[in-house]
Amino acid sequence: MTSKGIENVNPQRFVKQTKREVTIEEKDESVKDPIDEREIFDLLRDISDPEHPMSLEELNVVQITNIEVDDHENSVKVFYTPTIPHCSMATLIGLSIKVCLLRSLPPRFKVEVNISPGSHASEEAVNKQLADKERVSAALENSNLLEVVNQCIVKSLE
Amino acid sequence: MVTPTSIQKLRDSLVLQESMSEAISIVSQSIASREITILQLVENLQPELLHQQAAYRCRAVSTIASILEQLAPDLKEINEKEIDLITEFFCSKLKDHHSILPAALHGLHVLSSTNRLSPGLARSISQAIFQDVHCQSQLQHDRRAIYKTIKNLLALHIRELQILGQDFVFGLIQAADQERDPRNLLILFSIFPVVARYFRLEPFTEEFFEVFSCYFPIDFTPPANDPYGVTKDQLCEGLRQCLASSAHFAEYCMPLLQEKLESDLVSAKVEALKTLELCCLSYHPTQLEKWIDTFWKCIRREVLINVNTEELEHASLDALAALSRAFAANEEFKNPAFTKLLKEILSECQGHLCEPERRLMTPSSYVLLAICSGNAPACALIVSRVIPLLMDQYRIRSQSAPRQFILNCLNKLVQAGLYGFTEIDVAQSGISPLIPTLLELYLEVLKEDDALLCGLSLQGLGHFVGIGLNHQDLEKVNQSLLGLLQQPLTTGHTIEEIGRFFYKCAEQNESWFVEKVLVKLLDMAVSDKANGIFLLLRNLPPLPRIRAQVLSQLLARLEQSELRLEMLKTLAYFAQHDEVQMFHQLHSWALKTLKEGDPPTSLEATCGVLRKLASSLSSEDATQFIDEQIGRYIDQHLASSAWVVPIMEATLGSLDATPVGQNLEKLIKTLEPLTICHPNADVRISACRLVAALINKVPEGHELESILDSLRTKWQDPSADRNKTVCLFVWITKALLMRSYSKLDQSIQELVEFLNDPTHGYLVAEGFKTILGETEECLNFDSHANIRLMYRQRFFQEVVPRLLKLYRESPSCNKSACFAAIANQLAFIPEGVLVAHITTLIPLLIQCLNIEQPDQLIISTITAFMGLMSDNVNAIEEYISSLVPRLLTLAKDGLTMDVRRLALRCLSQLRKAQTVVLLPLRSEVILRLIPCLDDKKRLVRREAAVARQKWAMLGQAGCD
Repeated sequence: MTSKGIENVNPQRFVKQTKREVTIEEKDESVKDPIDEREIFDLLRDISDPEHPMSLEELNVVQITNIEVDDHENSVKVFYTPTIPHCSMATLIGLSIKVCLLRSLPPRFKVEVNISPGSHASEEAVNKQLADKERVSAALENSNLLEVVNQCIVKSLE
Repeated sequence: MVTPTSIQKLRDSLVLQESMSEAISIVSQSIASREITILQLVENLQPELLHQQAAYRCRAVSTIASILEQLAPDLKEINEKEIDLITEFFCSKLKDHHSILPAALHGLHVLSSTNRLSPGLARSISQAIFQDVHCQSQLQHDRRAIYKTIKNLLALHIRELQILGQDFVFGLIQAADQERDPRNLLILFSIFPVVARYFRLEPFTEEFFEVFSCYFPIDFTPPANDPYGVTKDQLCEGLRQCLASSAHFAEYCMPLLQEKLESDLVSAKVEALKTLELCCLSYHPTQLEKWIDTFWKCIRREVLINVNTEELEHASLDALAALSRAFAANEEFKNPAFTKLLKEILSECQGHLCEPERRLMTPSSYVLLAICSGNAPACALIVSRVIPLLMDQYRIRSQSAPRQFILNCLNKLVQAGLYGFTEIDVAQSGISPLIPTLLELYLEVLKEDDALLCGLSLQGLGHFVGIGLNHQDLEKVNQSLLGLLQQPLTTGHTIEEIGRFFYKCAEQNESWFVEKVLVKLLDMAVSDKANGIFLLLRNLPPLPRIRAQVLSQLLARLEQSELRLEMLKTLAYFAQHDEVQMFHQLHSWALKTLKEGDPPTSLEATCGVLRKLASSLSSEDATQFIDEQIGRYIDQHLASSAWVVPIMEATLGSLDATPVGQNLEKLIKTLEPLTICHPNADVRISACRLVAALINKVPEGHELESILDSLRTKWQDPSADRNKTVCLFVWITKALLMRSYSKLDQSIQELVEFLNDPTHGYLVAEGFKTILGETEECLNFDSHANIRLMYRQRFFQEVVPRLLKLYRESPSCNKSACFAAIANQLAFIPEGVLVAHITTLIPLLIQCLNIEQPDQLIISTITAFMGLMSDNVNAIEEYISSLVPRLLTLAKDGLTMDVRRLALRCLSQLRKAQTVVLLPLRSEVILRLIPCLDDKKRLVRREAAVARQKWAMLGQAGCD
């Protein structure tokens, strides 16, 4: 990203959560660990913002309280909060979240990614775009877009 | 005149156009032994030197140059007059046919490396080169000879060349202009700074600057498999030195740097900033002042506005620091341009510091710290302005997050403000009037119920130790810290930080610390009033008074059984050299605690301390101990409890002396049955280790052989329990291997045969880990074991071919034991040795990756693969296509989650291999990882998600 495009030079930053502690049940071979909110949060927290070298967690874009998971009903809903209401990166961030989840969750899940209600000017339009499978896959055909999305995700894997 | 035979031979081979190297070395030897002189040589070669055909002349000149090279660099066999003549000779040859030039240059290069050139010669050589050679029309090699000659002359005869003045500079400009070869450029970049520093460049300053500045910024990628090894970094570093070499370049260099800072290329910006950093050292502040503003704008853009890579941010801040350092002297500090800059930076950064929850707070603090570093007056100014501001900000916030950011920033500024000051002159620092209020704030933070804030406060307080805190203040801080330690809610993190603070205090003033703090700490520790105190004690510096205090207090209280373990651990930390008394005291105490039945809980810890003390006894004390104790061990103590064996191991196994003669015989005889027959496994292993430790130290000869013979009957005894004999055998083999025993070969053969045992082979394979691993208890450097260097490699190279032979030649062999034996060695063998065996081993190891193999084997094999990959992924690229499917199967169906996790992690790590090699496997991997995403264990799912995402992105834009 070049300097000219930065919209929010000085965003608010938040403290990171500590690493999830491994519990005794998690070490026990016989217990089945359900997929929960924190697990989804851990997948997303280190994705970096397209504008800043900061993670979505540090910018409070994803919060554990805005994630809904139902392991039995196979549904995952993520609500994310752009740093400013006019952020033009909102779609891109949503796309990164969606791509990350599609790649790393079992296919039985229906993944919904939405903007937290009231946090963005064109909330509805963005939500609609992200819900439309064909538009998502068409977006990923665009190599420039895919490059930015991958760059955001790649840091979360280190 | 008679032609000496050696020269005659030389002439013959010259005429016959044979290989000359032999003749050349003979002639140079005869010159070295002063049988002939160099002048005789030249005279005798006259027919060739004056030959009509240039090729002959060329060969003759080249021969003389080569002979000269063999005598260089002293040329002590050649007198000064001869050197004069030879130099003149080569100079005149520069005017000869162009094909002779390289040979003449070679000769001059050799001559330039001697320091025996008489006055005037250096000048004539450089003049001859500049006048008669058009450098840039020569080949790379010859240009290199020219540059090296000049470099040598500059190193040895710079005064003479200085007389040439601008003629030399001009000549060099002409010779070096438009050089393209990186190897030559490296030489030139080392010449230019010398010339810039010691020569008057006028009127060619700009031309001279142009010669090298045209390469800025360096854009160079070395060709693949470059044999010369010139790197971009070397060139950049060289060029930077040139640009910054003289203050005269400022007027040309500054605009150049500014232009590059505006570029879009990150590498160009970084180079410009690094160069600026260097220039600030050599350029005069008056030359920098008019550029300050421009450069600050660029740096500000990189640090505060753009979001950048760390490299660029670091380079920007370093350049800013260097700029600030240039204005550190008193008169420069008042320079209006710098004052304006300071004012501007302060007002901008202060604004950001008041918004600690926003991103720009941290980079602003970096900017301020950069200005502070190395510029004391600016630092004092910034500290006095910013610290009060931050303290106010801290007090008006209530949330933890912004408070953490503020404290972090505050700590860094405190450190910067105190940097370079001591207790004596701290009053002169800008921070001194603020110390009381800072102390108040930090103490206030300690009362907060927030471990992170407490930790930060302790870090901040740590900066004051020995500089800004008087005894009263310290007393106050210690009161609160001791109070904190007694609170049950204090976390481990805080205790650790307190430990660090105490460490600093103790180092600073040991006696004060012992009196005021340590006494109380020990009281708290032994009365069990607070948690974590022992840990804290173990992190204190082991200074003499502290040690004495801790040891005396704890040894007296060992009876107190509930804290005994912690006390012993602490004793082990403080136990040091030659504490004979403590050793005996602890030893007899340990023997008293033994009884029949279960071992005392503190036995292991006690043995640890005993081991440490025993190994530090002098060999006289050790021998005395052996003489006194062996009888008692065998006759009294062993009779009452077998748990004396671990204690014997700790003492006898670690001493710097070995029992001899009867003592040894008696000891081994007593231990032998215990190694195999004792019902308790711990006693057995301990006995095995002790026997091994003894065998390791017994000198080779009759005594050792008879002990080994007797032991051999034990482990070869078919009626004994195999599980137990294997253990003994493994330990004995380890002891013999470490000392490089002369009949080791036999033992290794026996080991391989043991391995083939269908029921116990696997146990032997596990023993390979014991043989190669480090043991804490004995057979290590501390316990004075007899260890030869590289015994592990030797063992590996001996064993692997035999294992492979066994595996290939006997189809009925115990294959899984074979695999395991190989896999178990990998972790201990240096990569370099492994790589040599890689092609034979990898196919075998891949076969280990099978669900039917035991988990431990799979895990050690995967770990070995990952170890290989971390440095040397190319070595296994060939095998990736057979490795990946096996890993995928293990990832899905591995029995334990450790196997599944490790297989997935290995798949992630494979991402380091070349994309071309991996791409054909991509779709299979992505597909077969889907079930792993739904693994029932969360830890496995996490690895699966990472692996699958990495493979999904393979070959796509934005992931390289």
